[in-house]
Amino acid sequence: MKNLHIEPYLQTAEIDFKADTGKLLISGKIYPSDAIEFFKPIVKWAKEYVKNPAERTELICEIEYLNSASQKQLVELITVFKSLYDNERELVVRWKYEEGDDDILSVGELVEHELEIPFEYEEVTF
Amino acid sequence: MSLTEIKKRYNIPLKQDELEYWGPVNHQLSDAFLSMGQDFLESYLKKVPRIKRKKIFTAFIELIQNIADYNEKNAKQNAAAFVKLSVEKNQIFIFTISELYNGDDIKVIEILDHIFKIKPAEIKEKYKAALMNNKSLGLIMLRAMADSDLSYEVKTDNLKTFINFNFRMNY
Repeated sequence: MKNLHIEPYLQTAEIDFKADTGKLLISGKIYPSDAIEFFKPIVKWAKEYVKNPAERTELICEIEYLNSASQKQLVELITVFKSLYDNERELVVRWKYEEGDDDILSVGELVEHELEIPFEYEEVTF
Repeated sequence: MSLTEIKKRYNIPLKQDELEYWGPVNHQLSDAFLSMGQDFLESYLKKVPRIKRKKIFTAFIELIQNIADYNEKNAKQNAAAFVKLSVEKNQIFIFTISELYNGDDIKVIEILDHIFKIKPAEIKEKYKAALMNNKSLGLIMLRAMADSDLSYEVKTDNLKTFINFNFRMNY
C-alpha cells in the first residue's frame, strides 16, 4: 500500500501517513472551507489501511487550529481507525495540543470518551 | 470611493484597531479574509495571550465560514456581507451582517432559537451530541467558549432579510 502525503497549506495540515511503519501524522492548522473535500482522500486511505495494517498503528494528531466542520471529519477518520482497536490490534492515538489550549484538549478527551479508545496527551508549542 | 472616504463623509469613527469588510463572501473570499483576520489579530492584539487570540480567531473562522457556506448554497451571485473585527477596552468584538434568502428567516430563527435556548449547563452535552452525530456544531461551539457572549438578531428591511451575529470576548 502506498503512503499518503499531503503538504500543509494555509488552512490545512500536513498529512504524512506511512503504511509500512503505521506512523500516521496530522500536523498543523485544519480549517478549510470544505472539510469534507479535504478529508475525503484521508478517510479513503484509512479505510484501505485498516484492511492490512502495520503491527502497531500510531496516529499523531498535532493540531493548532480546528474548525467545527473538520472536527466532525476527524471523528469520522478516528472512527475508521477504531476498528483496529476493536479487533485487538495495537492502536495509539497521541493527541498533541498547545499548552493551555483547553478547546483542542477537550475535543481529544471527548472523542476518546465517546469512541472508547485510549489517547495519550502531550502539550506542545506551535 | 474608498471605505476610509466613506467613513469620513458619514462621520463614522476611523479607528486603527478594527478590521471591516463589506462585500461578497463566498468560500474563496472567506479564505482570503480569514488570512487578513489572522494578521490583524497578530498585529493589534500582541498583548493578548496567544491562547486567547486563538480562541478569537476560532470564533472568527466559524462566523465567516457560516456565511460563506450559506451564501454558496443559497445566494444567486456575489452575495454581500458585512464583517467587523474590533477591539474596545478589554473586549474583542466580531460583528457580522448577512442576507437570508428564499424566505429562510423562519427556518433559521427556529434553528437559532433552539441553539440559544440551550442552558450553559447543557452546552457540553449538546456539543458532544452534535460532534458525534455529525450535526451542525459551529454556533454551539461558540456558545461553549468561556469568557464570551454570542447573540443574534434577524431584521427585515425593504423586503430583504438580514441576520447579524455579535460575538464578544473578554481578554
